[in-house]
Amino acid sequence: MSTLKADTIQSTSGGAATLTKQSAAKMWVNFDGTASGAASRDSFNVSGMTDDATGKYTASYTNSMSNGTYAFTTATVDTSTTSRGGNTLNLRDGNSPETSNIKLEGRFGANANNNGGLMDQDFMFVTVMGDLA
Amino acid sequence: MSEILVNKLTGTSTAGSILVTGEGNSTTTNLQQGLTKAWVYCTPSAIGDSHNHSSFTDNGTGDHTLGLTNAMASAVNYTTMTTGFPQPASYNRALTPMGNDKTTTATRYKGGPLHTAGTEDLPGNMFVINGDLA
Repeated sequence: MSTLKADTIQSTSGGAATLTKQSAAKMWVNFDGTASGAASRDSFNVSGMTDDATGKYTASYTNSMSNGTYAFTTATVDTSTTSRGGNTLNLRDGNSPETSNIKLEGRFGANANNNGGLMDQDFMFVTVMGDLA
Repeated sequence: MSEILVNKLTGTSTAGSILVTGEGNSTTTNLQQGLTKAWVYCTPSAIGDSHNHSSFTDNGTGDHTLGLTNAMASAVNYTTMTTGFPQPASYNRALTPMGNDKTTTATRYKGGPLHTAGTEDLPGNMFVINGDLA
């Protein structure tokens, strides 16, 4: 097996090198929504987490994205409430992804008679794919 | 276009850390941190295609455990992104990681409705893991 050792990889023109038919995540975070400040357990390209209110968080990026049209995925754990559906983490209602951050909201599951409400969960995950500025 | 053909990339200063220049041609981003460490597509009964997954366990309706080939560094610090396809004519279904059954070598997930309690086998289940390998 041949091994190439390098600390930084660029294209020949000094820009972004192409990963053949692949792309890498530009941000991910595993945070505790129940902790003070929605503390991050581990992350990549995250400068800080903000606990805006119960179930509401902002994840700020160290290096900004090039636009607000990037893709992102979110997930949170099930806390096994027996009378409701699964919990969710989503883009916060009324907000769009921003180049420097993303605003999120976590909700517990609904049932036949009641909507889900804002709630902090202990394990909450976000991943961002797209172009860096 | 210049092209390097090689089977393995290693950092010279730190073996597991290589920087790549971002799309905007100015900032750099860490290659290893941005790479997805595991992904899988599975039905309620088996893995269809995957990366870094070694096993599938059916624990019951809508309840599955997936084993990892190469372990993660921490049982709690990695992210598990999930999406589940509902059955035809169904809606408001989700696949949710079960945080209390997350280890360095396996992850457990529950499929089911968002509007009521219970578990349900979803026809398509997708998981993506980011974080640090051991």
